[in-house]
Amino acid sequence: MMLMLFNILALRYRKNSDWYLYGLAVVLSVVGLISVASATMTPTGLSSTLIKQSIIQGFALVLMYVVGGIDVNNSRRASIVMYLIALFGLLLVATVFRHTEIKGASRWIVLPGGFQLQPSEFAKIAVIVTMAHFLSQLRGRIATWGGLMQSLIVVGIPFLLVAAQPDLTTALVFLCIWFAMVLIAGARWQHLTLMIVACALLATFAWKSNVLRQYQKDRVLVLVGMKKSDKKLNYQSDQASIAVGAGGFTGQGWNKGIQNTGNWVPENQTDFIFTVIAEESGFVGSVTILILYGALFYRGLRAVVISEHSTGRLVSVGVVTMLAFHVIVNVGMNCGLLPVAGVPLPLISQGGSSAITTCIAIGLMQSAITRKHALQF
Amino acid sequence: MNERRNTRPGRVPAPPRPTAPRSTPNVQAINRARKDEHGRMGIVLWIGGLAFTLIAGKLTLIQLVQRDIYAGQSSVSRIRHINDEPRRGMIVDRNGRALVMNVPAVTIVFDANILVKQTGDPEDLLSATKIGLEEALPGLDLASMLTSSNEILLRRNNARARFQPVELVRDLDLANLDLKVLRKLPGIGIVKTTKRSLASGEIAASVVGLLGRDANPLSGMELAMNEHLIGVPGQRYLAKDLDGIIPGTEEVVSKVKHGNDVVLTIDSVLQSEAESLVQSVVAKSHAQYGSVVVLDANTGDVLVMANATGIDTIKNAPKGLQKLLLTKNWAVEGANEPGSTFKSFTIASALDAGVITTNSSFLCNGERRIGKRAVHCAPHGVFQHGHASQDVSGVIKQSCNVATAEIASRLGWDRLTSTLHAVGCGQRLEIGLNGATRGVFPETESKIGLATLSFGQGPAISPLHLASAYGTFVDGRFRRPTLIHAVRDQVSGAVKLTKRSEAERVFSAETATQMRSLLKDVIETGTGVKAQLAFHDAGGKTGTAQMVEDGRYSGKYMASFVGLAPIKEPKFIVAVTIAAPKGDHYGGSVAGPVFKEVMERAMVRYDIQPTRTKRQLSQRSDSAGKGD
Repeated sequence: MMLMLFNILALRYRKNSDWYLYGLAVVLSVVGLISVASATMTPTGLSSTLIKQSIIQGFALVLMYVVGGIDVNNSRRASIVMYLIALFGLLLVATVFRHTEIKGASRWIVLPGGFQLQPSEFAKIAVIVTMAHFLSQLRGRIATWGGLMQSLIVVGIPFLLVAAQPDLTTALVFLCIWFAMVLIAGARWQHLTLMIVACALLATFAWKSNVLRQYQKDRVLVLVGMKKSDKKLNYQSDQASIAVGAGGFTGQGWNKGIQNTGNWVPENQTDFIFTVIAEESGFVGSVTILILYGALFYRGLRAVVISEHSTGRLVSVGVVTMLAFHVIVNVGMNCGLLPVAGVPLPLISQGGSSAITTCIAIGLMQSAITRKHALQF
Repeated sequence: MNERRNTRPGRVPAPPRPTAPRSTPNVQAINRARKDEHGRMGIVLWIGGLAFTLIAGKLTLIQLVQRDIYAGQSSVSRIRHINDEPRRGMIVDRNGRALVMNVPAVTIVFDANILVKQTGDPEDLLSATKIGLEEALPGLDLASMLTSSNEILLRRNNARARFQPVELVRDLDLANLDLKVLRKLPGIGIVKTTKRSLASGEIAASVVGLLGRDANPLSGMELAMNEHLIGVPGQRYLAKDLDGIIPGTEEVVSKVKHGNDVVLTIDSVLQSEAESLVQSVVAKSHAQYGSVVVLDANTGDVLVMANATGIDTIKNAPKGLQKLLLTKNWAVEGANEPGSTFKSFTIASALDAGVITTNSSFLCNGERRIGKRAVHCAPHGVFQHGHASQDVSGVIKQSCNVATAEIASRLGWDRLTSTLHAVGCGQRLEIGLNGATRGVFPETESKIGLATLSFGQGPAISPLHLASAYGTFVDGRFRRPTLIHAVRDQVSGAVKLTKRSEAERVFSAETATQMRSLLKDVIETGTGVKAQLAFHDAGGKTGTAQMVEDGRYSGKYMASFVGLAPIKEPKFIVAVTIAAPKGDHYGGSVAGPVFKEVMERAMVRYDIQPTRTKRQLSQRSDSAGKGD
């Protein structure tokens, strides 16, 4: 029992822990809870949503610490099991839960008791870890066409399952993770260029055929100015931009934002939480948040530099890519730079699956840092 | 890049050491590989950094440069334009008693969108609502109007699905309603409204008229005075978020102007009594309709305008018209031949012109030939072969057609018609109600036409015409009737009186006195004995006219009685009209008693000194009340 606890806590390795990374995760979580508190404030006081989120966020941070103690470099078998479970979950969503649509897409496994699981969130972690092990095993062969194609299959299966939900944004996350990981793993530039061209062709095909739904096309067209902004169609994006812009330099103060307190921005406790921060803490707050994320990613990429294990390095690359993708797409859509896509802001948005996934991901980076030495006896 | 890749033995094993063991990697090679890796990471960093810079740039643009634009839009998004609906004015009687007012009511709505958001099984919630509605509002069968459970179950998990809210009951009376219970029912919404409600007993419903859905006036004063009653909506701007109005942000563009109250000349107490009287007579005699008009003899104010529509009349009408028919104002809208009540004007006109005196004598043998045609007196009581020789009093007492035609021929067409015009016949009496009838007035002169006109056959007038025309006998002047006393500001109470027209002289005062004495004789010993009052002297005239239906005389009769009391100094004029009573149809016997009742109540209400004792009540003859 004691041994088990010792192993979980892995105190022996904790001395290498990146306390900045932990600290940044905690700070961002606290910022998240403060923002969720403001966004979900009811006339009678703090909301029950906030209490629920606080518990989940706390649990997620503990989970991050625990995951930070495992040895990511020796988790090949576990990663394959995780990968298969993730695929099974995605298959369940595609088949059994195909008709339980929430907001126009079937992305959730609905459990009795009102719990909802989003397998695509956990699939991201599974794919990152599996890819990392796969790429370290491939070693140099990633520079060959065969190796690259094999790695593409690892990502391709969940990619297609997620794209079919349809959840194009998450599918795009998989693509980005794959791209970044094979890039760092040493794929050939010619191959990668070819893949980009292929992707571009695929995107054109998707646009011309009916894979993309009209609302998705409209969002893009409005954004690039090729379609006149329809007030109803673009309502969420417009209201978000107004909130961000109205924040000004120093913001309107906590729980004093007009757009926030008036509930003008739909979903401003989840995907549009950044509007609350921007409106109520202004340019100063928004940029601070960006800097905090920047620091988080820097600490993550530092792991790539200091780790002697290629698996740990690749996991860190995957995690940073995933989180950075989320941050960029989310903040981009919050300030009207990118089309509206269902992407949460890591550690800040309200939502269980996202909070836990993000914390596990950061824990994995932490693990890569604590077990940075190839041999440690 | 390519070159460098080829020099990476760790990835593509170099020929010199193809079997180099993994556990002992070449330190130099590893360092090279890591260097390449760092280069590639630099690219990833560049891409990420570029994205972050773009975002920071956009933030700078909208938060610092264009801040005012967005802040403006932000404040616009909470500005709400509010229309303040004005309160509709009341309609009150001359003493300020409300005839119709606004009472709080509720409209109950069912919204399945709210229901599906509540926790619990939608089917259970729906059945809870059904049971709750049945308990709270039994007998209305609202449960069948709810959105079906199938529809809710099919679409509850589709976020884009919207249910159509259902309006269950509109403007429901608040009394006996437990709103707390209703509010708790899943999906039930309650909207506060106001409802137009008549004073208890529905007094003067036919005058007040109907107000339909969405305050759309349909009839009566509600329609005629709508412009005064509705008021003007106010406009406000205020800042509002989803939780409500933000205090201190209100900006009034124009203040709401509530509708004005309309003050009628109606006396609701007398009106109520007259209504129940006329209703019971109409019901008892199975009449088509009946009406009672009471005027203030000195001012022409309409004190009572009571109407009753027979049950059969309503039953035979098309469904959509039944409600309107129930509140039809026959007193101003129903035109009929007046019959013998018209004889007073022929005689008064002749007396005034001097072509006869009260002592003139006339011979009636039951028929008077005019060219190829003839006018008759119907045999009644002791007068089976005409009324024989009689003075003017006898002519009016026994309602002699033959003698009246004789008087009219002496008077001539022009003088008779100008008198009738002067007392309002053939013209619309403007009392502020839509649909007031002009009646019918013969245009072309003829001898037979003159004869029939003299005893009220040929023209058509409304009961209001009749009552106000008899007002001329008070002092020889004609007073146009008034129904709208004033328009009153609902808030300040400021009153704007209706302008009344001057009384116009028609006869000399002496003629009026003579006429009153003649009319008194009718009630004392003539056809009107059943209209005798207990303690007051009254004068009046009976009328029994055949009703015209589809342009020809039908077998139905219009029984009427009109008169004044007290006869020396009249205070009130009462006109009673009962259309198509079954059985007894004579004006004296059907309408006369109603006249008596209404007049007596008016005397009591206005405390008029008695002018006689009960003992003076004259004996009634067998033929009493049977003459026309």
